[in-house]
Amino acid sequence: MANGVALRLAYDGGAVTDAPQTEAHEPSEDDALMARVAAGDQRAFSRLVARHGPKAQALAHRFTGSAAEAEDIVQEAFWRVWRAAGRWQPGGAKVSTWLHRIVVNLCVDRERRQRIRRFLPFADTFDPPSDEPDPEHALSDRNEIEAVRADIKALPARQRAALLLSADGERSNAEIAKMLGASEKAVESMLVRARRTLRAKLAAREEA
Amino acid sequence: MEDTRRIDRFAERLDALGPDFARWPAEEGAEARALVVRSADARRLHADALRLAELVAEAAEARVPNGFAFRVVADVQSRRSDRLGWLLDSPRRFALASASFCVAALALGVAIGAVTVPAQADDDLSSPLVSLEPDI
Repeated sequence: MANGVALRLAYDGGAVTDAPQTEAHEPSEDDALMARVAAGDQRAFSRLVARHGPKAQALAHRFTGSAAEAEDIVQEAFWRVWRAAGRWQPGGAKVSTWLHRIVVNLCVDRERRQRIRRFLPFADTFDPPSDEPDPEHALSDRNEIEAVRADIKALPARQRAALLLSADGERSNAEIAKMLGASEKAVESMLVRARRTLRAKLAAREEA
Repeated sequence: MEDTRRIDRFAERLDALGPDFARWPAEEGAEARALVVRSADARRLHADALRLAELVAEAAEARVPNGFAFRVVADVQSRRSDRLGWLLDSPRRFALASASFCVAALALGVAIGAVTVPAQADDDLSSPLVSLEPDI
């Protein structure tokens, strides 16, 4: 697994770039909502949460393995969206790309902090419980989906993020690359490694 | 040999781009479709990739907890009021924040004054001061 520094996604001179990106597209409903959010319109903010919250929550949940942790992450991400709404430029990046970028960065940061905490005395006391069963337990339950979830959770962070972002088949690798602050080639490489790992584990389970 | 290389390449591209050829670059997608038609190995690889994609898609789904959107919006509202409340709750904190702002503004003003070039040079002969010198 990559070290903590390498796991940090989307660096820009040492700082994580959660700032809105510049990626030309037609002004959308999201742009209009962002303009209203910037003016302090809470109904527009609620609409934005309803549009993008569920997918962000699912991504964070499957990344962290915990619904409660995922909700903390999504709350923090939307707080950042609220604060940065005034800097939003219509026709620039897509709101969903930006939001998912923030969510992935928060997920990776949280995982890195947890890994560091494991070296501290009494660290286990503070680790939130994961909703995911370990692969053996999942196997004993004969629940293939749970086993795949556990396999995904065991992937290195960047591979996991790329795979989860591609899972619904709605995003191109180019979009995923923007979300991860990586090149398209790098995303392809992450996906190849992630899918090979999952396929090998799937085959091993079927043989067992 | 050529076929083996082609199948290996196809397997790699399947993992990189997924099993939906519609999402592949047009030319590569057309070649892949043709390969699947004529090669049993390619069909098997494609079927495996489809199965894995379905499993991953299902595994990536997550039920959104009840009241999720409400809690997210409420959290932002509470953080906003927390910030303002934190400032307004204590006159001393408010005074300290105001004083810090004034000091920062003053420091900025001094910094700008230090780096700005004076508008009028000393040897400027067009200065009104020059014309005030008595004629000899």
